[in-house]
Amino acid sequence: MKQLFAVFPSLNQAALVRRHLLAREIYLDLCRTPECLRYTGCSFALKGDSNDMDQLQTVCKEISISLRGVFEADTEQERKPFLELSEEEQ
Amino acid sequence: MIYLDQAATSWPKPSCVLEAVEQALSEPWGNPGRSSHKEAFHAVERVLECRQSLATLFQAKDPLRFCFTSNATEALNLAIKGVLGPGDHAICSSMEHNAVWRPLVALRKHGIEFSLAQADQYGQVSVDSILKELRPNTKLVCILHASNVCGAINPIGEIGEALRDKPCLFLVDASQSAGCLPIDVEQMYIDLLAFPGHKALLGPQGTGGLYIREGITLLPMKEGGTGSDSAAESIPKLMPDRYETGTINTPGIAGLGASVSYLLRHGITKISQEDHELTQLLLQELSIIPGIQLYGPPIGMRRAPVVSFTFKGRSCVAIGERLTSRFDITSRVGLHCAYLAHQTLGTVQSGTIRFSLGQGNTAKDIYEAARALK
Repeated sequence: MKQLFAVFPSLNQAALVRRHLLAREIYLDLCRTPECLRYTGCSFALKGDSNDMDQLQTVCKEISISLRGVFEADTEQERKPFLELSEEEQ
Repeated sequence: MIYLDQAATSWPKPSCVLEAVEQALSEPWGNPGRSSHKEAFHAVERVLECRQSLATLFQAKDPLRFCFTSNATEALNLAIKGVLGPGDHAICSSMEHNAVWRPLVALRKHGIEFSLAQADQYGQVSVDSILKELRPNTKLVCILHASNVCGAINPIGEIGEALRDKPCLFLVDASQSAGCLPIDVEQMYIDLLAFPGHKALLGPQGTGGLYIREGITLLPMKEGGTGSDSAAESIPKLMPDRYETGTINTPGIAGLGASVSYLLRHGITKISQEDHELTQLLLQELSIIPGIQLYGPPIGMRRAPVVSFTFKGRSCVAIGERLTSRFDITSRVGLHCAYLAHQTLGTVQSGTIRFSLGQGNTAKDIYEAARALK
């Protein structure tokens, strides 16, 4: 199963995007950004179904939230490698 | 007890506020923005709900443009000191609270000047009185929406419109208007809006905030942990993290979120009309008492629910004490932390007695207060 990790610079941004997605009945969980991603320093992410990627990016655009990056992880692989799908540094 | 000191802090608070604060303290809420367990996420969502309610109340597009402070004074200091630098000039009105006047005076030693836009006999400042103080280096215009001394309401929308093309920021002190007068940061062209949470917004003491329009970055007053960009040596530019270093007042903000939702359910226009009717009744009752001099806008003119008066030949302090000790009526006497306003109204020597009204008051309170003064 492929899982999406959308990385935000702060929990406030992630929580706001999550709330907007909830209004569209898309459920993504808040989590600490996995340390194997290069964003050190207390960043937070939304994780969920990678099929929701388009909606997530639409919401971010609509409410002017910049993502640090979006990654896809194959949870069936033992080492769960992350594939970077897009990057939009602030 | 008859509580007529709503301009200092509102009472009673709606029961939903008490419940929200109790919930934040009794349930396992974490530290919002720091940890990654569900308790911390729950807290950050409750804090976000408060920001969203504030954005709805003040017609702001982005809830993350609101940062929380411990009161309006802190918000005003952040705005004033975060905007102005050496060589800059600022304008405020001659009715401002010490929360604006004192920071501006303190900045003089850093090479920052300010001018006063003179208010009229009712305590209102006009657009023209502000425009004539503008200089090429004016960087900030700070005007209170409603006077905490006499309730005079300033034409914030007109002032904002007149300043929108000027190279300065417009800061509004909404200490006596947030929660009882309609405020639209977009329509009124407000760049910075400072507000307390515990007055007409009906939240707990120790809460307040500052709205900062998109595109404006202030110098922060504090540096420290924000829960974001922790590897960076300087504080991030992100809103609201940049201005919320250290742990925020989560229980207070939970209470504020509940109170703002309560106000949104009731409607600010309705609340404003109720306050207006009660205030007019108070003015009428006081005006027929021999020896009383009222300050601020005349009867019939709209004002915030704040009424100041003096009693000819009698001490304001003595009257205030008598109201409390004999009639159990709370008021506030003195200069109300607004020296400039009393200078404008001519009451520096005497101070005034102030009755301020809110959602907790009824016509019966007004009649009893007037009877106590007769």
